[in-house]
Amino acid sequence: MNVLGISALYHDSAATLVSNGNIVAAAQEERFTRVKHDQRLPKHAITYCLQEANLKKEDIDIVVFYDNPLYTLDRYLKNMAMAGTDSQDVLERSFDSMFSDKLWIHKKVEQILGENLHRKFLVCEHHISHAASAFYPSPYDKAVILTLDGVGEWATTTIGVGEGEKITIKEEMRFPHSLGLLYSAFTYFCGFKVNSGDYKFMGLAPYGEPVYEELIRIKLLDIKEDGSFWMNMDYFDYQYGRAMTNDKFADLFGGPRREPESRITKREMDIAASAQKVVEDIILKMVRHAKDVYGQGIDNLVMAGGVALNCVANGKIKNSGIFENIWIQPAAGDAGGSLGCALYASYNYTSIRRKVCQPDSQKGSYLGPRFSSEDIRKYCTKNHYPYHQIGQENLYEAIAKELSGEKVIGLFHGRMEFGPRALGNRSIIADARSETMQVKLNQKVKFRESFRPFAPSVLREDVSEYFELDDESPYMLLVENVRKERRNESRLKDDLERYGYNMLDIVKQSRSDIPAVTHVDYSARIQTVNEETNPYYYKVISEFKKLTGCSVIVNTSFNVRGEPIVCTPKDAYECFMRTDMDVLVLEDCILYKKEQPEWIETDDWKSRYALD
Amino acid sequence: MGIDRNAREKELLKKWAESNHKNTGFSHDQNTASCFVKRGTGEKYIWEYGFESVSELRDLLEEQWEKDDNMEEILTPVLVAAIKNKPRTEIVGQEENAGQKKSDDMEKLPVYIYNF
Repeated sequence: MNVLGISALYHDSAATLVSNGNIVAAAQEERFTRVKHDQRLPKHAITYCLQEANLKKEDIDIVVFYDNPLYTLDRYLKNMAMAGTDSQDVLERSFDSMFSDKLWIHKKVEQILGENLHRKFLVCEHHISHAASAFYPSPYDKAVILTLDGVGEWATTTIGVGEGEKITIKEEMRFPHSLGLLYSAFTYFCGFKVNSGDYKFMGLAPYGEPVYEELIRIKLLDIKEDGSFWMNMDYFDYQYGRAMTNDKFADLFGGPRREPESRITKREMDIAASAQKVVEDIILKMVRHAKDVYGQGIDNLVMAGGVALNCVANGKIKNSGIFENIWIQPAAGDAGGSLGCALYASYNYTSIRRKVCQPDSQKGSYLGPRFSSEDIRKYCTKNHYPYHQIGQENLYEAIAKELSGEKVIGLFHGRMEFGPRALGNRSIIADARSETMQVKLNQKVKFRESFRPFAPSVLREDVSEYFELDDESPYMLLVENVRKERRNESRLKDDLERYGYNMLDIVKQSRSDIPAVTHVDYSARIQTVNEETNPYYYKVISEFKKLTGCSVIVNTSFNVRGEPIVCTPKDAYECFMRTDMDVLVLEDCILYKKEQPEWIETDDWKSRYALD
Repeated sequence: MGIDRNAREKELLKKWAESNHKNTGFSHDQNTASCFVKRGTGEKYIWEYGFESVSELRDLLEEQWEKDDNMEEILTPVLVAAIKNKPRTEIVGQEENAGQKKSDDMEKLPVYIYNF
C-alpha cells in the first residue's frame, strides 16, 4: 500500500512516500527548486519520492493532502465576516489561492500524477497531520500530543492523545488566537521576515532583558491557567490580511517597527527576550494542563507544528520534568505535515498496523536524495574539478585533520535531511574550539548577521561532558547550557553597554572552551550523534576527538543566507566556490579550494536568494 | 490592468462579509476559565475528497454549513467562484504552462504576514 502525503500552498511544501506504514522518502520542494520555503505543489519532491521507491505514478494507491480545503474555506469566509467593512484586503490576499488551488487540490494533483480512477484522494485535518507526524514516528505506544503552529484551517493549537494507531484531539485553540501568529508578529515588528525569521528572533532573545513581559501580558494577552489565551486583536492586523501588527502595537513598543537589515537596538533585544519568556510560560502551562487532564499514567509527550521548532522552549519543557519523555518531529513545520497525513491515512484509512520502533521510526530524518560515490566522481570529472578519492580507512581522519587546522568544510554525504535542520549530511562543519570561527562563519561563509549562534554536534556518549544534558537530542531540537566548568566569566549586560549594543563585539568574546557553539547566555542547540544512526558523521567526530581530545564540532546547514540547504553535488560545489569554505567533502572525495579552477559567476547569484 | 474575471464574486463576498459582520472571533469573555474549545469524541479527521461539478461541490458545502444559516446566502457566489477557477485538465499542457506562470508569481512568500 503506497501512500503519498502532500503539504503545499501555504509554505514549505513537501512530499512523503509511506509504503505499508514505512517511511520510504520525504523531501521539501525548496531543495529542488532552490526557492526558500517554496509553497507550490511539490512536483519535484513527488518525482523524487517515486524514484527513491522505484515506483511509477500509477503505483500510488492513496494521495493525502495535509489540510481540509473546505474547512479552510469556512475560516476564510468567516474571517472576512469578522473583518466586516474592513475585509477587502483579506478577501484579495487569499482569493486566488482559495478558489484556484486549494479547493481544487485533487485536480491539481491529478495534473501531476495523471488521472487514475483506482487512486483515492483524501484530505486530512491540518493539526491531525501535525499530530500524526509527532506521534507515529515516535518510540511510544501511548503519548500526549501537543501541536502548535500559526493556523491550520481553524485550529492554532491542539492537545490530543495517541495510542497505537488511534489519535484523538481533545481540545484546541482557534484562529485568530495563535501562539505561532503571536511569535510571527514580534518577528515582523523586530524587522525580520515572517515565515522565515523566527529562528533569528529566538537567537536574539538572550541579548535582551524581558522588560516588556508585563506589558505583553497586560495589553496583548489574557493568559489562562491552562495556557490557553486570548489575543487583543486591537494591536494586530493579520486578521485583516495586511501586516502582522498595526500602529497601536508600534505605539505600545515606543515607535515603528525596525526596518529590515537596519541596526538592531536594545529595544529589539528586549522585545525578543520578553516575547520568548511569555511564549515559554504559555507552552509550559499548556504542557502542565495536558499532563494533568489527559496524561494520567502517560509519561510521554510528543510535539509538532512550527512552534515546536522553538528549541529553547523545548529545553524548558524537558527540564520541567512534567513528562518523563519527550519526542519532537524534526520536520515540525508544514513540511512534516506531508509525513503526518501519509502515516495517518496508512493507519486509519487502510488496515495497516503501526509498529513502534526504537529509537524511533524517523530514520534519523535522513529521508531525502542520495548520490553515490560514482555519481560524485562522474560529476567532478565531467566538470574538470580536481578531487582526491580517499579510501574509507583514511577518509574520516583526513576530514578531522582539516577540521583541527581550523578549515571550514562543506560535508555532503548520504541522504538529505527532511526538515529545517542539517544533521551532518548536508552540513558545514568546523572546529568548535576556535575563538574566531563564529564570526568567520557568519560573515565569510554564511553571509548572515553576526549575532547568530552556531549549533554543536557532539558524540552521544560525551554529551554530558560538555553540556547540561545527558540524553538524546538527535534532531537538534533541544537547547541546554554548556557545563559551568567549561564557561568563561562574562558580563553580557555590562559588555552590551560598553560596546554600545554592537553584537559583533560581543560574539568575538570567548565564552567557553567551545566558543564557536556557545551562545551569549552559554546555551547551545545540541545535536547528539549516534554511530547507529549516522556512522559516517560519527566517525568524522570520533577522529576529530582522537586528534584533539574534543568531541564537539560546529554544525551549520550547508547553504548561504536565503538559500535552501543544498540538495545535489552541483548545489554543494556552487555554494563551496561562492564562499570562504576551504574544503568540500562529497562522499569519499575531497576537494580543496586552492586546487579548484577559477570560479566565474555568470549572474548575480546573491540576488537569486532573497535575504531571509 | 486587465479586467478581474472574479470581480463580481469578490463584490458579493465583500457585501456578504459586511452584512454578516460578527466580531465574535475577536471579542473576549474575561470570565471564561479557558480559551480551549473541547473537541467531540469519535470525530472524523480524514475524508475522501473530490468534486467535478457545481452540484457536487454544493452538496459538500451544504453538508458543511447545514447548521450555519448565514452561510446559505454566500453559497452561490462561492460555487461560481470555484467553478470559474476550475483547472482545465482537458488541455493539460497549456494549463500547466499557465499554472506555472501563476505559480512563479506566488513562489516567494510575503515577508510581512504569515501565509495562512
